[in-house]
Amino acid sequence: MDVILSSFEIFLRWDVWVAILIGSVGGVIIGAIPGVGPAVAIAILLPATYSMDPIIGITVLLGIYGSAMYGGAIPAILINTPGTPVNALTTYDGYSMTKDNKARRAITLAYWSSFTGGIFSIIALIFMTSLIAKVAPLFGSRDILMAALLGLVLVVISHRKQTVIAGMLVFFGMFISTVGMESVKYTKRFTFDQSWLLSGFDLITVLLGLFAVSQALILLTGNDKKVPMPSLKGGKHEGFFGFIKYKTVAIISSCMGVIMGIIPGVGEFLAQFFSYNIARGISKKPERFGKGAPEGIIAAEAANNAVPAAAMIPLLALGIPGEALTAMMLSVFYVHSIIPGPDLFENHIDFVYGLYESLFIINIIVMIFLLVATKSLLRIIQIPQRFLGITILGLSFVGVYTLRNSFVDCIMCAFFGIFGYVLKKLDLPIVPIILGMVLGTIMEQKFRASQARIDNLFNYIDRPISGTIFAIIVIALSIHFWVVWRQYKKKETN
Amino acid sequence: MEKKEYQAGNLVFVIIMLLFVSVLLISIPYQTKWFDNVPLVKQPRLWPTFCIVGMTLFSVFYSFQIWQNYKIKGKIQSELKEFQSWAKPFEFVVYFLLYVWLVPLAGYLLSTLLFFFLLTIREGYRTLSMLLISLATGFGIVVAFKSLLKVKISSGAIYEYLPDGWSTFFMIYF
Repeated sequence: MDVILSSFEIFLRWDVWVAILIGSVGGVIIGAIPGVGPAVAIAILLPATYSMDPIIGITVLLGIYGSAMYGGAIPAILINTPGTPVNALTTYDGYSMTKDNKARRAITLAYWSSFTGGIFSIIALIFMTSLIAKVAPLFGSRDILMAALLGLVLVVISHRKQTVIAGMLVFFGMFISTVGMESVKYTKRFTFDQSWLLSGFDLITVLLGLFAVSQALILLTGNDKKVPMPSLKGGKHEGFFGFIKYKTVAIISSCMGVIMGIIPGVGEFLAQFFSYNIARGISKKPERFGKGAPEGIIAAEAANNAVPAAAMIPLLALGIPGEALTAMMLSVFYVHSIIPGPDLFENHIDFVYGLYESLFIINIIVMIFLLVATKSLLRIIQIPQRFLGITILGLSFVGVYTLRNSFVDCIMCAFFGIFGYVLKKLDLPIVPIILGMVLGTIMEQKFRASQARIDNLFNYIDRPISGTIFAIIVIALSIHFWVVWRQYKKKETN
Repeated sequence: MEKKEYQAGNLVFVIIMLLFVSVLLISIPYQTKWFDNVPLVKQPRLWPTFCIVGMTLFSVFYSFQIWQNYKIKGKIQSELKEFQSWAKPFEFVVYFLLYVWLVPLAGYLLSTLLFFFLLTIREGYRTLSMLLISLATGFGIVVAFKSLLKVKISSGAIYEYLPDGWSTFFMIYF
């Protein structure tokens, strides 16, 4: 009880409320602009939050992270263009409903589903905290090493039909994290006698390049699409009652979002993919899916909004980010000398509760904002894409230059921007590079730290936790190879 | 083996990646150190070697996958056309780096206004309203980050030529 009261003390500060407001409203606006997305926004704002109080900086970014997907549903439903990549599945049924003049109903369904997913995951998080607090301190170096390995394995195999390139990019990310001076023998690694490479590749520089600059370049070299002003017809209540009718779908999808969010490396895409399939499986009219089924919107939106809070679990408890956005969050924690991991739950539990409370309020503020301001938000969708590119490039400068006021950082950022541009043009994934970079560093540290207790390779998995995680890795890989083999056989038969 | 629909440019990409990993593989003995009488896990060479070997294996497998698809659906002309299109963003990268170079000289405010104004013209938005919106956006970014959030951006050399009071004001806020 004392802990909760102490967390309220943090949470009731006026500056925390301002951060919540800016983060949540800003997140919705960013999410509603196709071509920006929370990854770009967080990458840009990350360095700006370094000078802030930890809870303020993290709350702003958390607000953007937690609310962008709410906004992303608006263009997905109205103009068939997802505001954020994870809203892609919403276009299937959302846009079909818009074509049937049920846009308002679809939007309201998306809002309430997102809200349910968001709140459900926070409640799950609060209930699980005591369990996490008990389990997290049991994690030793070998367990964290295995958990990081699990994250990498899952991020690779979750890129369906792109697993090989995802594997290569994970190793590329791991490699670039080794460049520079290493911390044990203080020797140079892959610096090619260049002094500017001694400090290695900064995560923020790489992030900004791969996410923000590359996106700016894609927009700047592309063409503007003419977007007609979408109209919202129908009442809000119709959507709400529709949502109540399918509340079971919302709850199942939220559960799926929480489960998928907790597993490192999986994230929103698989959460909504599974939820969508489950919703179709239990629907009385499965043939409507993809043609304007309300359950389709509910499943996709509830699942993807349940992920952000759940993804905080491996991050806070073990210091292992499950996807690119939580990897960005991790760097904010480090900058403010808050080291996520078992110690956070033992000694700074009030901080953790403060974050949960902020997330809770973020969802409520977003919901109120959307119910009041959706019509005004429609204008944002019409911002010309190439002008957005100029703005993102200008903002990227702030992000990268404020790190060290270094011209070299900007060149590196531009280099990764071009690399990200090529990857995006080829439709290749970027997230594995970031996770490889973050988890690779963690793995190298834990690999070295665990050596004192290692006599042979079996010692890595002879602890209950590391053994269990290893078993999960083996099962996940077995399932993956089995699925690939089955598809191959099926193709051969055809 | 999984096969993805073939997209032009993949072959060029994988060739570049293969060249890249080959250079890294060759460089391992020169770019990392090996210490005698030091356990394997503490060798600075171990981890980068592991990463490069992993990258190489996946690159080789990916190139095999791409080659299989290229043989069926690829065309060398499309590959070269796609490769040429990768040069398009360099123009904007140059503008970006010029902007970075200009900030310590002309100051954040002036550089940003120039960057937004010129890039807006370059992108073909030449109406007065778009130019004003562009300048307002640039000004808004400077005010939000430099004046309000006080991010660390070096002040422009040009500010030293301003009268004393103005000089300090601009150095702190713009």
